[in-house]
Formats: sequence, structure tokens, C-alpha cells
Amino acid sequence: MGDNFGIHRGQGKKVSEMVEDRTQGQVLSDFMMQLEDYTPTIPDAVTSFYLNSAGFEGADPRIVRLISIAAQKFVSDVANDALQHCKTRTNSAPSSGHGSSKNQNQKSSKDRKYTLTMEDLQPALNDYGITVRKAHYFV
Amino acid sequence: MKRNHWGKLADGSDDRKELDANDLVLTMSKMDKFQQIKLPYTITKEKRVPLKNPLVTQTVEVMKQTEMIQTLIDTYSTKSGCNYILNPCQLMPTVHFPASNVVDLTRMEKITRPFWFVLPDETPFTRGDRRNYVKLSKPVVLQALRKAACGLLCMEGFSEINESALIMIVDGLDQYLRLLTSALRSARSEQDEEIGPVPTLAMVQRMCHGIGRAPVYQLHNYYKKLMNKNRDEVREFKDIYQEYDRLLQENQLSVQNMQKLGDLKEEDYMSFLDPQSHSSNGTTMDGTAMNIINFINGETVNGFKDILEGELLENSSTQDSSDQMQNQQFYQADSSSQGGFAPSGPM
Repeated sequence: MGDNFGIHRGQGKKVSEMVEDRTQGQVLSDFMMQLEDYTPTIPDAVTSFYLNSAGFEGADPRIVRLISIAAQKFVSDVANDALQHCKTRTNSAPSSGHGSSKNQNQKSSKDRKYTLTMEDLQPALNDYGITVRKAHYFV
Repeated sequence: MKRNHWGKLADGSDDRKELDANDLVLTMSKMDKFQQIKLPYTITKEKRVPLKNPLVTQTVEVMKQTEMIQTLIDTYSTKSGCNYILNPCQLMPTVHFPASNVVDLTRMEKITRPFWFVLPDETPFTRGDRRNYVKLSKPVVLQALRKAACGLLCMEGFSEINESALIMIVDGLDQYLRLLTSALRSARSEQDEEIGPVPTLAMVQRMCHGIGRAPVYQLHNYYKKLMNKNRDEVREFKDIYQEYDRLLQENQLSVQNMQKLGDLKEEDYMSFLDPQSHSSNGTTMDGTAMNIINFINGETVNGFKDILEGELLENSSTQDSSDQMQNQQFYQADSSSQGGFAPSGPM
């Protein structure tokens, strides 16, 4: 496992030509090397906990980081969808006041603070195959 | 008689009471303070789990600072879009961001490198050498997931979250990680040849395929999107800070100009009436001050003075003279009817 997963880059080319000739595998190879500088939001120790629970031990740190980023991407996607639902719900709500101007609407949408609630999270998780049955005592 | 259970651990660690899965675990900074109080276990520095993603932390901090400056600009400048200071006499507050808010990302020059840059040297990480990670318990893992989820939600645009939604999203993330690792295990067991307990990139690719998620290169695109978002936020902060700086300078200049006018004295006030008079400090009152007074009163200087001295009544307009003639005629007619004295000539 000491090599770069069998993917090698060409030598003796100009930078512009190298960029054009890079295949998907080369891009992925470079990405795996760049992961060293990137600390995922989900710590490596947490991902290692889940890998240990599945029977893996002493995993490749690059694979650990990949799984951390995959989980991080999941949260980002769900959050993004929930935010879209939240914005749609607040924009479709009847606005108070008399004939607010376009500038005021733009400014209010920019300054508005969004709160993540179960109402927005539920449809976002449904899109990812997670059916949420909200308990009556949950807000 | 003391019972000996089969499968009991030799060191007796299974007798220790475990924390519930949803219990909160304190951070290291708070643990140091609680160290003075008796704790059931000791804390060592080796078991530290970093919960900080510099990219996300910096992006969130920059977003907050941008919002703060934008609020200041909206409060102290006009809303017409010209961005002039609303009240020249009111000093705009200055904002100082402490140096501790700057994340390590800028100091370590990671953010200044282009996205495609890859270090040419080999490191244990790039070689894929095995690493030992800290063994964590379930409460610590859930606490870490809680903090990670909050940071990512903040970066997406949420400022608050309900407790129930936080519990839901942490549970979802926990189940998703279990799903990933079980799919990875399935991908490993599908392969016929003997493979050690270390997953490979091919297995990760099959894992993503197995759970119906995007392939591995989409993770690269996601990472690129994070970097671009950070740079966009920093750029927006710089633009807004420049605008704030310009308004601040304009505000300070206007306040200084207002202070230079100084206090009004009695002799200076009366000298407004004469364009050639001198003020108490020896200077001639001309130009600007007179124009201001004329503009406010809507009169010429001479006219204003004449009104005070009563001369304007004799130099009335034609309309006024015709009114006077009519009044005089009426007075004469009235006095003749009553037999009174009728003055001759104009009044």
C-alpha cells in the first residue's frame, strides 16, 4: 500500500499540457495527496471508531479522511436542502406591511437569520432515503 | 460468596459505570478547570481529539465579521444607495477584530496555494502508512459529531438550530457513518482474493456505489467547493471592509469640519448682518457665512437690515401702494360720513 494506488503522473511536460492530460484517476490521486493538508470537520479518531466497529483496524489515513469527507458532504447536502426548504417556506409566507419594495425584500432576505427546525429537516432527510417520524413532543 | 462471571475482563474495566450515549462531554479547556474538583477518572493530554477544521472555522468567522460590518454600514449610512453618512455629527464606531480570530490557515500558507498544487515530496500520509488513533467512547463520539454538525450548519447559512433538529441530525450522521462502514465491509467481502483488514480506494468506490451515493470524485468537487466558498467569503469581507473604511474616513472628516466651525459669540452673531464687519478674532465675515444666512432667510442682506430698521415700509411695491390708496380712500369716505377730520395726501 506504499504506492499511489498504482496511478503515476507523466514527466517532462509543460504545466498547461499536464493539466489537459490529467485523467480522472490523476485528479483523484492528487486529491488524495492534498488531503494531508485538509483536516476534516469530523475528526479522524471518530471515523476510526466507526471503522473499528465494522472490523477494520489501522486503516490507511487517506481512506479515513475520505470517509470523513463523505460523511461531511452528507451533512452539507442535507443542510443545503433544509436551507432551501426554509427559504421557500419563509418567502411564501405573507409579508407584513404595505407593499414592500424590491430592495427591502432583498435586504431582508440577506439579513434574515435561519433556524433549522424539524419542519425543514424532515423533507431534506426524506430526499436522502431517511424517513423521519416526528415525535409529538418535538418542536 | 463472590461470583465470578465468565467473560469478565481481567482489569475490571467492565465494572466502571459507563456514561449514557447522549451525555455531554466537556472540552479540554473546561476539563482542566474541573480537574481541581475530584473526578472519577484522570485526563491525560495524549487523549486529545482536535475538533477544529480551520477551513470551516475561518469561513464561519469571516461570515460573522462581514455581517457585523454590513450592519454598521446600514446603520450609519444612507439607504439610498449612495452610501453617504447619515448624520455627520455622529462618529461611526470603529471595529477591531482580535488577532486570535485569525485561523492557522493563513499563517501556514495553505490558503495561499492554488487549488491544483500538490506537494512533490512524499510523506507517511501520502505513502499510506498506518496510523494509530485515540480510542474513543460513544459519548465522546456523539459530542464530536454534534460540534461538527453545528459547524457545518453554520457554514451553510443557519444561525440557530432547535434541540430536536440537532438530535435528529446527529443521529442521522451516526447512522450514515455506520451505513458507510458496513457497506465498506460488504465491498471487502465481495472480493474473492485475500485482503487484509485495511480498506483500499477501490473498496471505497464500491462502497459509494453500493449505498447509491455519488462516486469518489464527487468528494473532490465538494472539497473544491469548500475552498471556493472560503475564498468568496474572504473576498466579500475585503470589499465590505473597504467600503466601511471609506465611510469611516468620510465620517471622521465631516466631524472634524464641524468642530472647526467653533462656538458662536454675540459679536459674531450680530456681525452677520453687516457684510463688511469684523469678527472678534479680527477676520472679516464674508462669503460663506453670509450666504448661509441669506439662504436660510430667503432675503438679501440689505432687505433684512431694512426690515429691522423700518425702512421697507416707505419703499413698498406697487401692489402695496394701491392697497394704501384704497385704504386711504375708504378712510376718507368713512370720515366724511362721520364728519371727522380727513387727512390729505398719502400716508
